[in-house]
Amino acid sequence: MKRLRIAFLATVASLAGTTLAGDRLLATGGAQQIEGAAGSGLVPWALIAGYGTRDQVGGSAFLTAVHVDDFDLRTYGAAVGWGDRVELSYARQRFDAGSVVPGLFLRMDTVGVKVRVAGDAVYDQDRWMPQVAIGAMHKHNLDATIPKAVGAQKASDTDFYVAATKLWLAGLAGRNVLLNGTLRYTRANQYGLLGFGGDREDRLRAQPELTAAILPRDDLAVGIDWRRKPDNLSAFREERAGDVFVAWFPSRYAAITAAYVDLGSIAGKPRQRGGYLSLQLTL
Amino acid sequence: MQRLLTAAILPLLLAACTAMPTATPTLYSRMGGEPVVRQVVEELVDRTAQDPRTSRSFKDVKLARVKEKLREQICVLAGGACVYTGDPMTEVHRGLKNTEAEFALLVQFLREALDHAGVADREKNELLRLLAPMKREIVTG
Repeated sequence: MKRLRIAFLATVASLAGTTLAGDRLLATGGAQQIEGAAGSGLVPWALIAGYGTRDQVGGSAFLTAVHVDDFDLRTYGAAVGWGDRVELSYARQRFDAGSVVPGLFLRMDTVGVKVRVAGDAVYDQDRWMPQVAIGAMHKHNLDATIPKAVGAQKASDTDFYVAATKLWLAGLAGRNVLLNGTLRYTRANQYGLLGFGGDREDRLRAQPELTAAILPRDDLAVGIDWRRKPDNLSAFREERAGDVFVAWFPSRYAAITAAYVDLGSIAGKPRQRGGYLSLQLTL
Repeated sequence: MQRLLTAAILPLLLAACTAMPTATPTLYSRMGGEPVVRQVVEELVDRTAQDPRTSRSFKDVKLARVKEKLREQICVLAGGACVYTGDPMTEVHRGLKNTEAEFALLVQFLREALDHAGVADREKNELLRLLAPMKREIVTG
């Protein structure tokens, strides 16, 4: 895992000096979602991070803060998109549970890879075919103590997903509309922060994730995310999560996402709701 | 009786049909017709021909002709009463090896030109929806 992370950072560093550039249309790289992949708040999309076209390399870096009733989450990371085809992402999450257990925080690394396999979300306006990508996220808790203590089977695991994204120009009341559907095969408890698998269930199971957004302007997206999650631990019930977001792209170099999130019950604490703020720099 | 009813209703229906507008206004007329399209194309082609990122394909090209053909093309696509007299898109762009980046920049310039000409979002997005699939014919690089 550490080797992966170093390899990723080395790749980013080597690219930074060379051909990082992107001419794709504004907002078509999405934002970086909570696990570092291009998407919206909670959901990875089929779009490739950054603004790189077929002959370019794009990338982005982000910092996200989530504050709900009993917990805080900070995530930062970066993603590189090669030729609008392959995306490699890294994210570090720091989950602060200090208000529940004083001084307790969890850290997790996520390395993601996404490959666009078909379609063009933006330009295939005469077809129903969405842009489709397949991806994987390898997640690794830096400390296995808490995941083990709550009954998880392991502290590291890999999610697999397939995502389909499509933009409808003038799709609703003359505004552009984006729809995304993702199917994730996972056994993660609370995104992996509480480990993987449990006493109730220990298999990868398909969980749907959806995003619907409308673009009132070319630089603004307003939408909702909805994400179903496994419920593996009998000690802590886990529920779906969702958010309502506004993403603003003031220029092709930056994006700001603000959201109201409802993460459901976390570690026995019900109705975890609050704010989400994410800043992204894009190339 | 039935025949009488039919005889009475049919003319009424016909009258109602002819009184109704035959079709909703075309995208072309909603955009503002010829003067607006002329302004949009003027800005788009000039900018594309000048910007170092997109000018490559416009070297030694008669811009006035490009503008004329593009105006015709937008008019036809948007339902205006025009005839496209240019060569097929695939033929025009054969050998140019246009890249995705050049095409995306062209779309960006078009969006901005439509904004500058005061074309409303609905009409802008509808036009882009019609033009977007042309990427397949234009991007050959």
